[in-house]
Amino acid sequence: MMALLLFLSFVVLLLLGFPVAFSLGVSSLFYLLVKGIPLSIIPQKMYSGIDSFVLLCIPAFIVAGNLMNTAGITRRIINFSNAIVGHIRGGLALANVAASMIFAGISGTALADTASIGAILIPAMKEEGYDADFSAAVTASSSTVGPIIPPSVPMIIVGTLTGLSVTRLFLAGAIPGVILGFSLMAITYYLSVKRNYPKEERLSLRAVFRTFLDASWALGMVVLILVGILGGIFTPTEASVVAVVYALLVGTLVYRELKPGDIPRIVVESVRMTTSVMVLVGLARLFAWIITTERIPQLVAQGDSEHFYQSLCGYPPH
Amino acid sequence: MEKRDPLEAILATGMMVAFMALVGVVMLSVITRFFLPFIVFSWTEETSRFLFVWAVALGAPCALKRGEFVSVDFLIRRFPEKAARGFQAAFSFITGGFFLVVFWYSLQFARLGLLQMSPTMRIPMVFAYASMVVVSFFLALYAFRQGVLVFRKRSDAR
Repeated sequence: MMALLLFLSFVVLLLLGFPVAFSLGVSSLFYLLVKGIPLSIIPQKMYSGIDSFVLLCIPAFIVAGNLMNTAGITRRIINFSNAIVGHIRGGLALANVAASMIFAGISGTALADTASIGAILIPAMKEEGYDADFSAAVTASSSTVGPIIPPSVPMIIVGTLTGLSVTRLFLAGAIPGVILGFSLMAITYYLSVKRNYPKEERLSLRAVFRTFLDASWALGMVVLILVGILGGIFTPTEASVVAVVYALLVGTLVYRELKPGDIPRIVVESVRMTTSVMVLVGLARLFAWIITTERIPQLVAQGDSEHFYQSLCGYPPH
Repeated sequence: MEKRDPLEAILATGMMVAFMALVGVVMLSVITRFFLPFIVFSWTEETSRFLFVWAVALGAPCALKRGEFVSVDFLIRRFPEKAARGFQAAFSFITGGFFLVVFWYSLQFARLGLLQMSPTMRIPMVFAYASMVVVSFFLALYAFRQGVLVFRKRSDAR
């Protein structure tokens, strides 16, 4: 009843709607109690799970994204994308994908892309006559280029866990990410023609240039982050913090849309949102430690069903 | 309208201060490394990790209060409302109980830190380990509070 108890209690708690983080914790507690392992392992593993320099890129990227929204950086990126591709059939939808690709060069998560771009573009698309489900689908699927085009939170985490070079992982993602973005644009164009979605007015070259100038500080962020990481000036984790500072400076000093009074609220809401994930990471470390001490990964890999059964149930099969 | 919660305000402010300090420390290390390569701060990585752990410890209870912990709710949503609420109250108490246990053992864990020194800053590790005491205490507190609130709502409805 050893590891089986762990898995069963975890799954049951999870399915009954218990938060994931606490399901991990409580099922681990059951196991430790039954096995008679000192419970002081809980805070110890929890601490070592959270105590990681790499993980701090998660709240930092979220804070940077939310600051960019309030600072008008996101809006300018969208305006610029719209100026370039808006005149094609399905213009706003294409601009959505293009903005996701630019945004991908700043933020490391798909979630930040969806939240930032979707909040502005989904209402605008619906107003122009796009179907609501199509607008949401374009936003969600195009935001997946976020973690593929560098920087990328998942790649940072994979790199840390496996010892692969994060910078090389980033380089590996750049071209597939761009191809993915263009493929999404192609399918968006195809669907837009088929459904006869609207297009925007074609802007004069001069007007396009004006949106480019207006967005130049926002686009400069992409350059800064990518050159900084690929040039070895700062690590990918540090890039998230650089993005926070850049968004703060551009928002307050250049665009002046970010009011100093708003900053504490944005920081508090963004960081608080990620702390629940960090507690989950901490308790997952505890859960993973138990799985490791039970040697479950090795037993599964070796296909050793007899020992696997024993470690799962605590007694050998017959 | 919810009453203002001074405890949450204190925790959230602490979390924000820790996070902004972390941003400052990381920027300091980036800037000195790039512009002033002759100055080497070895303490920045460790400091930023400690600040991060503290930001999480202070923020997580606020996240619990606001129901921001992710859960799988496709099953519980099909339960009758009364049963679902019963489960919710029970779960809050289980969470509270769990973190009370963690709190108790965190005290032991933090005590270990009295003797340990951090590798680069040479400060006692208790300053970092104490974050586990704080986070488990306040998580337990808010979990019990939530349990009581849900429970009370149910008896009001009767």
